[in-house]
Amino acid sequence: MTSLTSARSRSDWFTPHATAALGPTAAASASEVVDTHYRPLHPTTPRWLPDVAARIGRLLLDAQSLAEAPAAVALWNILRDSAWAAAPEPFVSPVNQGGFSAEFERGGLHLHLEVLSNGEASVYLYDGALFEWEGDLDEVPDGIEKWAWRLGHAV
Amino acid sequence: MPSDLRGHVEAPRCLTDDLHLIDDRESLLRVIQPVFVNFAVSPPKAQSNGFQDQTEEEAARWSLARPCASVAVRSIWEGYGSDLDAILGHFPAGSGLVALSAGDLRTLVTPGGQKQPQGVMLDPRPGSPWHAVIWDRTASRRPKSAMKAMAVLAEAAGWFILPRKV
Repeated sequence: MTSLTSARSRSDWFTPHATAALGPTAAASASEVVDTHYRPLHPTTPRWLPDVAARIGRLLLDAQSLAEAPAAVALWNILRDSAWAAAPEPFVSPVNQGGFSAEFERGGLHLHLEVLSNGEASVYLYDGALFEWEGDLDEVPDGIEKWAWRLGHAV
Repeated sequence: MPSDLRGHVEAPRCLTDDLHLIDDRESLLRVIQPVFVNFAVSPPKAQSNGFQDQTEEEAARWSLARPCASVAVRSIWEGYGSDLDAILGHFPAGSGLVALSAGDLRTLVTPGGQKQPQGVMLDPRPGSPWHAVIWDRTASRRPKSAMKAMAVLAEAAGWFILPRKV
């Protein structure tokens, strides 16, 4: 059984349409999401995706720098994944050193995803008083998809 | 920052926490630009990125040894007449201000309870004698956990000057 997250390298996120090539690792039930590394199955992309895309586009225009484009593409590739379908709309903002970030918050669960123009992608997670972690996107405990799923089901 | 205040380059200055010049009870004003404010909630909320460090290039321009974030020391600013425009005039329209105490920053704790102390150094600049910088004492660049902790402090304190959506 291969973890979806481990099957993706950092360069995957920086490649347009990277998520189109994902393997058949969708979970069929919520319990399977919890018990395995399978990704949650949602038939749709996030409903907030058009608004977030527009926001990223505006920020990209404001940056007035083509150097920011790879980070914008990478963030878009991550956020358009159906794993985020039930997650709340993130707050997208620029990063001073070049890049963009998306902050999600719901029910005491906080996820701050940052994608830099130099190719670095990192995450900060805080789950109530139970868990706090910050590090590379590729090393998110349980994989970023599971946290996306948790955000979608947090109350 | 206006262009006439740029270009001052000399050997990088070490950052020193000005414990005697800036008391723990001192209030530090931080500008939050509209792009870092979530206006979808009421009251508007300063997001984590509103507390990020400047770039390395900007730090070098001011001869700072590493990236920091700018703040205004409230008591000094008030001593010069409390001119809001003197602070906000350098930033995009609609920018707001949050006030954080120096002591809270020096003893900053992340939402998960990790110590993430910040340093505070007076860094007066032409036209801004109240200018100071803050930096993370545990990492070369302020971690997202520390930015989140500062956003939490700001939310609890409320806005000093409410930002406007423009």
